[in-house]
Amino acid sequence: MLDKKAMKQMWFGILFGLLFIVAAVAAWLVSGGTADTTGLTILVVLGILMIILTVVKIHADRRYFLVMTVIGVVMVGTGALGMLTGTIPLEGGSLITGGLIMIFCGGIWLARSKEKRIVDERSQKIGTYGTAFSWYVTFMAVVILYWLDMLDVLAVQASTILGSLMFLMIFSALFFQWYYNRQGDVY
Amino acid sequence: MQTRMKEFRARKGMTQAALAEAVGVRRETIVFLEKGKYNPSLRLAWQVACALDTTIDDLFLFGEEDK
Repeated sequence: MLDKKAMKQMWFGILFGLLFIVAAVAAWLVSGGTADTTGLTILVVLGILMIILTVVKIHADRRYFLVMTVIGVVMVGTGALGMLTGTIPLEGGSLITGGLIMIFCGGIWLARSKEKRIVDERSQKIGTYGTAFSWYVTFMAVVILYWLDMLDVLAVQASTILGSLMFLMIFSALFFQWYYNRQGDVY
Repeated sequence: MQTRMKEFRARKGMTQAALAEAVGVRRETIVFLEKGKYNPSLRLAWQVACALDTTIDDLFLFGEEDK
């Protein structure tokens, strides 16, 4: 049975995932069905992923991660089949990307030792601080990029910048978490 | 902050892994606690003290620099 705090965290994650899906549906309805289906599919897949990841992370049970990996494999298979035959109306690319993320996250957890699967207060603290510092780094990058663009020093496409920021956020969070894990604590 | 965790744990004949299991944390958390590199929450400090049959006061020693 989950405690009150874990339940609150789980519902927050589910709500956030549902917001993605609602936003996609709302965008589709507002546009009168003419909105870009690729973008909307990505939003829906992200929402579903967020919900699954939240539930899986809170429960931290091997079975959930196994199910998650299997769902990932099915998503990749379905996406590939849809792309090859053209029988699936959804975007094959989004399904494959979502599936690969699920296989990666589930696989990493399953490959971890029993010890590393325990989520204690220290790992939670380091995880939270790592993410927070990563937010600061990304924010600084956004400020720098903004001024470089304003002063016409840099001329890059929006998609390149968004892609770079996405990777910066992920890898800086991983770096800070690795660093503080080695240190023992966050200060 | 200094701790006497290692001393109390040895007195009880417990391993780091056994203590970690008793309080529901990773073994490395116990390692960093014993080295004085991790500041535990009040709850964890109390759980460790209970597992080692002692009190928080006896387990964790704070110096002037911790004020």
